[in-house]
Amino acid sequence: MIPAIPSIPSVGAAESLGAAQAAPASAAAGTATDAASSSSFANMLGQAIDSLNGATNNATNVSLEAAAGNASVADATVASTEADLDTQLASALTDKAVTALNTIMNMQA
Amino acid sequence: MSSIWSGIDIAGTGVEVDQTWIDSIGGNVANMNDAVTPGQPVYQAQYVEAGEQVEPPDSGASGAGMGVQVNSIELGPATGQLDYDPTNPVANAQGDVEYPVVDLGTEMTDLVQAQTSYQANAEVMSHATDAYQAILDIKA
Repeated sequence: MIPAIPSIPSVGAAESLGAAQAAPASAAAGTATDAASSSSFANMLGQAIDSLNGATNNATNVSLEAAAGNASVADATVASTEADLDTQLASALTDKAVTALNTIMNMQA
Repeated sequence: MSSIWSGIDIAGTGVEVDQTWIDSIGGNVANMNDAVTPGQPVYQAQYVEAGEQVEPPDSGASGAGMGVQVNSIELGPATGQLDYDPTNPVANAQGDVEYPVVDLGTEMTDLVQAQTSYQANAEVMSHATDAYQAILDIKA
């Protein structure tokens, strides 16, 4: 869950962009940057969505169990609160990653 | 269950144990007047024995603990107190009936303690959520 900080690799991609721009082959630089940033961004987004999915599924299951009388109300409350926080975390990380990506992209303008 | 929101999980274990505690008190109070013929098995009061939940030694976790758990449910005395009541249908030849050993005063003070503890754990859960929320609210 936490390892989704790979916005640092995006910065690494920016460095490779700078290095590549110094080189004459600017077309190759563009594709390399796209590949590097899209893979780390896709990974991060995928992990965030996966963890979010797991949390909300767990919250749904525990809530159903509680409604059926097989789980305690405390369990259901904990699970739904954590799912809420997971959602906010995933959304915050995605926002930050998009912001970072946009910042990198704007550097080329 | 363990997650990055461990503060909420830990408070959740406290609520869980307090719920068990309140349940056992409810059972004791509900059964305190169960009369039986002396010699028959009598209701035994239930007492929750709680203890710390610890991390597995090699888990590499924070060491802050994982909360609390019910270790066992201890039972009160197996022999009840005799009461002379010849009109009771379950009285023996001597006119005695046997009641469970449940002290209502103790149960009520335990109940107040359990309720306070439940509320305290719920409060910890609420404040932990607020704390996590604060770090998530940081905007660039």
